[in-house]
Amino acid sequence: MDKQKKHIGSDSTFDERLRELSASGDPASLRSPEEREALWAGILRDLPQAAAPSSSIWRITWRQALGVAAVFALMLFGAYQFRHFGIFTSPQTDPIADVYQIQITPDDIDIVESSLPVQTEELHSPVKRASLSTDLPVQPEKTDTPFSRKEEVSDSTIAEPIPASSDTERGDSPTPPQERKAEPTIIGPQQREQEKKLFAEDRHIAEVPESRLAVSAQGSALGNFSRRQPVSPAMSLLNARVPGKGSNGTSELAYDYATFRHSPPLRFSLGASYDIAHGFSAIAGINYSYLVSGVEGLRSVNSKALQEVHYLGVHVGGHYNMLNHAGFRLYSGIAVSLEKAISAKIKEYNIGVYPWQFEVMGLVGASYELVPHIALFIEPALTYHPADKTPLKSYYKENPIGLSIGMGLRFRINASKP
Amino acid sequence: MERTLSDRLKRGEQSALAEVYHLWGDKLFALLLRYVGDRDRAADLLQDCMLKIYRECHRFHWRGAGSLEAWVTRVCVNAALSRLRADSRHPRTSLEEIEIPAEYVEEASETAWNIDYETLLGLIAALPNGYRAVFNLFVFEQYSHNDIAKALGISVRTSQSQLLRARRLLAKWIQEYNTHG
Repeated sequence: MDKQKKHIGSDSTFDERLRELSASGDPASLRSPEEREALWAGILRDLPQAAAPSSSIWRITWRQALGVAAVFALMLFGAYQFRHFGIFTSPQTDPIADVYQIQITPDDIDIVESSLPVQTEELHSPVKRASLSTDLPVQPEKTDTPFSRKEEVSDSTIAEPIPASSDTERGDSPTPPQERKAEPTIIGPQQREQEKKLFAEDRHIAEVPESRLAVSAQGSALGNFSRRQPVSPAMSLLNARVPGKGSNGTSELAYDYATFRHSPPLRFSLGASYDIAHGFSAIAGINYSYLVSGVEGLRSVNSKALQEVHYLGVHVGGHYNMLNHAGFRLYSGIAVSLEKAISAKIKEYNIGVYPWQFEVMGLVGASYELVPHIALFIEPALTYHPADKTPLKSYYKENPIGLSIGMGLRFRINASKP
Repeated sequence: MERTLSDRLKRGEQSALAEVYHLWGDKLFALLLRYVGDRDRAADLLQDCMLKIYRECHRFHWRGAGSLEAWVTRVCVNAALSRLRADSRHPRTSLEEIEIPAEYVEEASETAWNIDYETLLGLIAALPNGYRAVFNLFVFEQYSHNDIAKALGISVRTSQSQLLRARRLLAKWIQEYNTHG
């Protein structure tokens, strides 16, 4: 114990003496005036660049952002056109709105007390028909169009036929046919269901069970939270060289001494999702990522080149449906991905390093069904890329935590008719 | 004076940055040298830090005398740490475990040192990367092991063991310098 105390005591004394010696020194003696001036000249040279900080927290250029916006606008426009011209509209469906509003006033319904206020009820069209027609159920003819039927039933008054023993027989002047109110029938739930079925058959909307399977195509771009840094003429701290084309077993490329500017990775995915239960669905798919970096000072101080790395991998994960309303869906999810670099080059030089890259992703997504079975989705996600154990310099390594924005189309597959 | 200087800096006056460089440039250079262990890299990092100070000065809030110097120092320490973190993401040769008896520290703390400031900085700079970062943060910045662990992304135990080894290695070198000159 005494020895331990002595150690601790000597440790703190040692530290204290170091601090004293360090504080007593003159840091100005470390650099010559020339060195000091040269560094200040370097600062002045880079100052204009530093004085114009990026207005965006993203490392996505305006050009890239405009590109994404243009693609998005194009997709929306295309979807609108398809919908408008019915290209994607299934012949089994009717573009006419299924839901509309009717008003039933107490006057129309004999059994309703007159004191009741006006009821506004949003009903499906068959229900409306059911509420106003007098003899139900009626099997509509196949040729019957919704419009014709609507006109037929929308008039709530029916002209009373002139009876055989009418005033004309008695020689009196004919009286105009009296109008009487149709007597609506108040239908029960069973009847309503039956009507719905009839309506569905009438509209040829066969109740095709929707499959739990959907496939999606997605593109995404990654950003990060850091502000744009000025290009540093700094040499890397690495001394190791990338194995490659060197004559003596080392690379000609001074890889580790170069300055890198990494662009946000772009990723394209193809995936499938399967609804499991209770709003949960499993997802899986393949993805391709493209990472490009500007490399400066590789062979000489002023040399510039591009490093391009291509990854191919798979992803799995799960989604949880948080909201599903009127074609709009909000969901969250997690996913993991494993990718393998399949190519890593600077100009024509193979870097010779092909790392595996792991990724964990938490996402929140929103999708909107543009046309039946086709939904546009956008998925902002927080991603984490653990460092691979290779000297390859990449965006993932410099920015392990990032925010990606993915966008794509999801196609829900119809199950076959039973 | 510091307050006026910070205000001028926030207005984007280049002369204010020149004054910051004139006032604390050497001290910051010494600090960075202690962390990165190489003059060229320290100079390069100082240049980056000065640009960062100029660009990010709007984040500085006046908290009394000495706060601007403390902020500027903090910017440099953080830059050095992030450089070291980036460095650790690119594996180099693995560090050998250095086993040095604790007696060196006891002896070094009891005997007189025949060593000057520049030599001391050179010895600290010669410490292996991981040891040097922990040692600087603990001894000079007076961080706790918990804070060091968070800052460097290592465990508290690693921080403790690296400090121990760094201290012993430095004590050994100081003793050797005292003996052989």
